[in-house]
Amino acid sequence: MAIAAHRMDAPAALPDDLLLAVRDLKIAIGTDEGRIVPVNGVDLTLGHGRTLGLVGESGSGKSLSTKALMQLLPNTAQILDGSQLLFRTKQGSVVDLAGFAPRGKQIRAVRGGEIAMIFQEPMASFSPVYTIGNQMIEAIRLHRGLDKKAARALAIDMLGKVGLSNPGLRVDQYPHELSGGMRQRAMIAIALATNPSLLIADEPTTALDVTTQAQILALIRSLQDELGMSVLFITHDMGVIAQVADEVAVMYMGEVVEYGPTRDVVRHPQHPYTRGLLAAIPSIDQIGGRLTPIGGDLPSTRPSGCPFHTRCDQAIASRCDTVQPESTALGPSWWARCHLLGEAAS
Amino acid sequence: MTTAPLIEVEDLNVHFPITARGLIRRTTGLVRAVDGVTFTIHQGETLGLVGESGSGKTTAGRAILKAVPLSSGEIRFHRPDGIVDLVALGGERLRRFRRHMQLIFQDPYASLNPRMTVRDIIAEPLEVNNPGLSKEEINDRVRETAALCRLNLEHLRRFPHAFSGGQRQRICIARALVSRPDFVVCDESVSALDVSIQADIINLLMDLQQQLGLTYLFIAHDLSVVAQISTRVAVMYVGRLVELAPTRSLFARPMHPYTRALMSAVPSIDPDKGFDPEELAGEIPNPANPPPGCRFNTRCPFAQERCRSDPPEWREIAPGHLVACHFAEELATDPRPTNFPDSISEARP
Repeated sequence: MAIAAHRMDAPAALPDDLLLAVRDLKIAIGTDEGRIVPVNGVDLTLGHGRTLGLVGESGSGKSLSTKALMQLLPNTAQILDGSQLLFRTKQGSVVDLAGFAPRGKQIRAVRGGEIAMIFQEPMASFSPVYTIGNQMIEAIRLHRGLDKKAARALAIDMLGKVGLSNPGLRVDQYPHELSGGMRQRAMIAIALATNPSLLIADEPTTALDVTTQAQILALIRSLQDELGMSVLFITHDMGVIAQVADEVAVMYMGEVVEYGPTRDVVRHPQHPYTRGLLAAIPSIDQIGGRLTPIGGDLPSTRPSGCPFHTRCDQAIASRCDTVQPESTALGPSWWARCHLLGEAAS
Repeated sequence: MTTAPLIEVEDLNVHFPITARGLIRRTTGLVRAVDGVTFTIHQGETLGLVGESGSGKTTAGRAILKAVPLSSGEIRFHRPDGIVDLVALGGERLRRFRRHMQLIFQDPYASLNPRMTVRDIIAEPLEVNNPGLSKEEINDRVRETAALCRLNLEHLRRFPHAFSGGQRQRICIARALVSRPDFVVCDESVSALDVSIQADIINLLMDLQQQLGLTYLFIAHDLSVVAQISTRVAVMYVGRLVELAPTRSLFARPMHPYTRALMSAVPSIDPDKGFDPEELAGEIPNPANPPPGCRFNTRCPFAQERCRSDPPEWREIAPGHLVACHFAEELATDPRPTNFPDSISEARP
């Protein structure tokens, strides 16, 4: 199989079945010790109504990459030239979010309205001094142009839809009056009240207990079926990915190293890092025995060549440490960036 | 693996008073964080303790170490030279006994003093608890323990900020083990770590257990991690134990409805294994005002009249398998009954 062409001469157009395509996203951050590039070549695609799982360990750049989609990067960060964030708006036109000014009118129309986001810690995304209803009504009026009364009715309707009991009462409560699971539901209600086409869920269940997590995952899935939105689900939990995602993108040190249908990637991981990640996970399906950790530590700066070569037991000397691997197609929508796969293919 | 007991806990209660604001601090209620818990930890085993936030698992772990004031109950610690009554132990005698039992925390960033070198951090428990040791003896012991925990001797002169999360957790483990305890409470000790590092620390804890003959109480909310490391697993719900069994039996045949719901909620990494969590109604009750009868009756899909009035007995349903549920036998016979309440009423008219 030939080297995939999706990185080269990427057309500015977005295939019809896709809502979002991220191509060669690079983000630089200025620090006291000079410039670093924590996101260094992220490629991914997300189809209409599909769920893409973005998995990676701390510092892999998964949160930063998704913040770029909403132009919510810190002031010191900058999206580098050549990065493309192609997104299909509700009107049907394709825009490149990378070119939007972070405080401009264009991104403000997308942010919250077309792309909504939910976070790990719901308390941090609510203002403690306004009621749940106040905060929802503000967003609804801004993005849907409804009057106060209609916005309130929609807010109550959404709170009911996310499974909060007694939504008429909840709408006038303050965030601290709700439990963790209820707050997460309320945050989902706010995010979805504007009827976005893309929901970015950044570790939305990590702080929750497992039974509550199961409820929230089921809720996101049923709302997705009902509203037809696409979901970008960021997590470090492979179990969550396996159960909710149609496709998965595995990130390591600012790059997507493997992308593909979840079943294929989880069953037959091709990149050594994906394999290592899956082998390191304890599972209730296999009790006892030893785990296989990925050797070595995460490097503090990005190594040359393949970023994983310092920890890879199959690294090819004077190749993996010098040449950055191109992606190799493994199936219609499955690819990985590894020299070993390139060798096998050619 | 023996089944000789190391620690016996009997009817342990930890109740925190809720005091009214104002000049006179009246007690207006009690948070029953741990409420009548009985179990035994065997020598050389890892007892996993799972439960959701607020279930009292952390308080139970600290109570055994006498790190929180106990309301009532008994804790017996078996030593080669006899049984120590931990509840009666106090003051200087308790302080001297502490080297036999240690705690490893969750957050390796918050639990290391940034102004102390790694050597001083690891040495501190020895210096405090063994005033008779010479500096050379302490240094030897620190180096030996650091090596066991796969820390480089070079590392000992550095400060904690220079280390990654996994290395910091190894420092925390070395500090806990330097006094050569018999018993270690690991409270969410791998929860804050990334999976590749988590696997490394879990393996290290298992190796150290073999080498040093340690006994662990492993507290975690992540069932897969607990399944990996534990010999037996105990499940807690609102201050009470609901089930305790050897790991395989618990995961293969959970007998308490709460345990079943908990297990069904863990997403499997096998995408073809269906994900169909059992729905639990409502929210976890407030431990200051737990429901009468079985604590789980407000959310249990199988609850009967009896569950709302009589607290279930903590009983051995199969060898080594303890459960607190009136209807555990009926639940065990049918893996996933659809009309369970009917079958119960037939069985118990």
